[in-house]
Amino acid sequence: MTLTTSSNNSVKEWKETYFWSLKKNRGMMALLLLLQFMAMPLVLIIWLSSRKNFGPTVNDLNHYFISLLNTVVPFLVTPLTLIFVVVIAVSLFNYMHQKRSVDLFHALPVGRVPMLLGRYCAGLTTLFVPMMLNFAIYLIIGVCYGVDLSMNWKIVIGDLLWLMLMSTATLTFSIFMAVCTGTTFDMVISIVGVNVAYPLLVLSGSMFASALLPGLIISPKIDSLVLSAFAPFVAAFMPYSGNSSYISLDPTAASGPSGGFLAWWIIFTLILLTGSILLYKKRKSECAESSFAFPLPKIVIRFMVTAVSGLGIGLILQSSTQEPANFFVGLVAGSLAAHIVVEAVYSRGFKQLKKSFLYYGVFAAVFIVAYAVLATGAFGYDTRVPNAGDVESISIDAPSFKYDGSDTIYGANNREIAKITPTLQEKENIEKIVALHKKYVADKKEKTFPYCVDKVNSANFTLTYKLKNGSTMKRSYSVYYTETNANTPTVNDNDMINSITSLKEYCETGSILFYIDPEQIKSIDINTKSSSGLTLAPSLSTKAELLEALKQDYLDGNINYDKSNSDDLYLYIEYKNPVDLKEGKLKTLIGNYSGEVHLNGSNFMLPDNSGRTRELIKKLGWDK
Amino acid sequence: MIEAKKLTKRFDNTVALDEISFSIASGSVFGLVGSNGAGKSTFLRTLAGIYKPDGGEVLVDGAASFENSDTKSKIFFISDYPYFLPQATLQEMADFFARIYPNWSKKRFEELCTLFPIDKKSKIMNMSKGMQRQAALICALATQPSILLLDEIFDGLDPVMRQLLKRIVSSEVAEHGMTVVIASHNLRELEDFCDHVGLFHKGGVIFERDLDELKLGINKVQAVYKPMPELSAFAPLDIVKTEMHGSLVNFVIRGSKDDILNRLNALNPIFVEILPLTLEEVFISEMEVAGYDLDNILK
Repeated sequence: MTLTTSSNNSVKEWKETYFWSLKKNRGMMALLLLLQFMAMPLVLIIWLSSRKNFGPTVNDLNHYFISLLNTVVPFLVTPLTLIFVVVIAVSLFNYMHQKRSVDLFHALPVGRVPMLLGRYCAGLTTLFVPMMLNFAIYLIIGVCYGVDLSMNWKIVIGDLLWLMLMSTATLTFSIFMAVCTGTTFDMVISIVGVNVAYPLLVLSGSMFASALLPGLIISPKIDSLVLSAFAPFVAAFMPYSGNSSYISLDPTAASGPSGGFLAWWIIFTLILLTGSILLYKKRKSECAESSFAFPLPKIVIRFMVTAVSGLGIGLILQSSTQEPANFFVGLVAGSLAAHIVVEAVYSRGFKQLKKSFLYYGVFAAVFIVAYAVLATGAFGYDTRVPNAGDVESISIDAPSFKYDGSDTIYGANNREIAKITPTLQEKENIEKIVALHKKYVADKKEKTFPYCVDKVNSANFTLTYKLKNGSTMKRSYSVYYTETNANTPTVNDNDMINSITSLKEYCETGSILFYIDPEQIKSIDINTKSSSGLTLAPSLSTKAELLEALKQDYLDGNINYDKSNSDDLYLYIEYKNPVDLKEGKLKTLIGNYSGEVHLNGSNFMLPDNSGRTRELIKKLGWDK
Repeated sequence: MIEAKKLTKRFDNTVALDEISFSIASGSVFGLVGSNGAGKSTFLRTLAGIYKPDGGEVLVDGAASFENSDTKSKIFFISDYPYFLPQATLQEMADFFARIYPNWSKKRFEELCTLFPIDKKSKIMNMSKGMQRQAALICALATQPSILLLDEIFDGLDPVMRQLLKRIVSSEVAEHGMTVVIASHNLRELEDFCDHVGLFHKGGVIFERDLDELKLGINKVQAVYKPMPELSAFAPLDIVKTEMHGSLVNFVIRGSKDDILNRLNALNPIFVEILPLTLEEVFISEMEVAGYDLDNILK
């Protein structure tokens, strides 16, 4: 009975708080509605009206409709919404940060949980209603101008749902910070601090580890989850920053955040909300106007900013001077400066500075341990190479001078379904690579152990071992280029790379030429440096002849060679898309995928030599 | 009935309330007096459910007020600097409280608006300090609370408004049995408003007593002796304070009037008189005993 009464009271208190807060924010809602209307539907009307004069087809209209959405959502609507998230969070939750307002609100006969949730839901409504209305208007305008929405609606709704999810995540994150901090200023700088420092920490930490430990190269993708896992304001833009620039409800579409990315943000938002509720119940009213109610965010933010500045400035100094000792100079200077600045900002002065150096000591200890582990090979990570007998196959990502532009296999909607990667399975080759790799790491250890921070290089040489026990082992190395010729690796790396890339199995598994049949070739373009192109659609037998010649030249190293001459020939092969799949290497490569398969065209440079392809072209008279 | 049982509240290393225990009967007007930083406002905030006690408890009709909406709905707290919603008018504040307090009376609100010279449609933030307190009081009384907590409510009110406030609150106490707890340094106002007082000092309660009983139990005496007896002659009396000027001696003495007069007369004074003691004088005397007097402060 008591429980029921209490529950009824809580619902009533939530309802009253919700409607009152919503009433308080109606002006904000109207403003967001107006600004989003100007950023989306109004721009669409202007854009489609101006295009109408050119008599666009439905396809053109569809293209305008989606490309405009893909421009305004990441560049206008998302930033605008995120600004409003902070403004709304401040307006709804800054009562916690003033002693006088705490006196009023915490004396009211409203429990803390309904008070927090009522305001939270009002904040979400303030954000969602303008969003939903404007996306609906966007769709209606599209229909009025003749856009075919049968597929496009999924992209519009996909964008809307993503924006709603990230608005919820960012608002929840802001509330969490409001609960943890004692003033609105601290709340806002904490929001900014985490969202800026966390991605930078991931990047600088990855660069630091990659520059120190041989075999480890971490390059977080710009749209990867780890780069923005705790920074929702950054994560909101991530799906637009990767290879594809739109979000769709269509699961076969190539673009949009992954299932893991979505799941993480749903789970993290729930964790933040639960954390906010639990902490708010424990929050002392008297914390208002002091810098923090719970010190954890301050400690974490100070650590992150200290680490980012230290590692960042250290790496910049090291890579600009090529002097490893400068890394430490930069590290100490950057981290100390950042620590003092953060402390001064949070404590409004230097009174607590002396005490705060305890936390700087924690950073220093963490750094020393991390450096010691990495510099001594991370418990054998640097020299660990599997035995040849345990290896099933080795995939290789090496600097390639034979790139033809067709290493990615696409499915419907431009979705990447497979990649052509040189892979070695022959026992002899595996043994050879393992032996080379062991020698390479042993040499490296002998010359440079204990390791020190080295130049960070984005070009990598990666060996991925697939072991017979089902696991994989990956080792990546930076490839050093000489200053005189950027395409010639230095001798040490060159030996290993050349030994690997000259293997026949490497070539046969690494080029599209060995995956296609003559029937799949649509046309051939031939160009020289000086003349305009010639497009040909040869017979099947000629295509087969040409393919065989190209394969042989590829194996002989006569294609896409790095030397360039005045009478080079350029050959472009266009494939019949969607590709008619037959039993063979291509079908094996794509595995169980059963939809359409598309290939990008291949480019080949045929240098001035006596390769078989040049001979064939000459014989066929295509060089005239 | 309000009961504080070993109530403790700390702010970092400062003990604002140090295991205080006392009770306030329903329907009384209880004055909280004490030195600055004695813990009066902290007690009110803890009672209002704003602060969570660090030890002990404060109960309203047997229930704690912190995170207890039922109990809080019976209490209204006006802080020393009342807060109003940004840009709000009195009418908007009324709408806000009407949603939340179950006993909100629109009728009572309208009545109070006619009693106090205040415009319901003006923004409160533009009003004077005294007007803001009037607005807070109108809202407070319209919620028809069982317990009204007032912190320095007289600040900024003109004498007429002070009298009006006291009259309205007193009538609420008389008619509805409302309990009022009022913290103030304005002892003259408390003197004819409260029926009980509690003296706070350094987080503790020095005493809590019926005001009349308190006044009867402590007396200011003026006497002339020739010759002046030795001070030890006055030792049987419970003297709080002594001031001598030649043959004139002023005492503040605890005890009944008759007993004091009998003992002083036994020493053959030329003149002896018992004078009424104001609450302020009682406060100063008791605080001197607690070591809180000018001489001590200026040492």
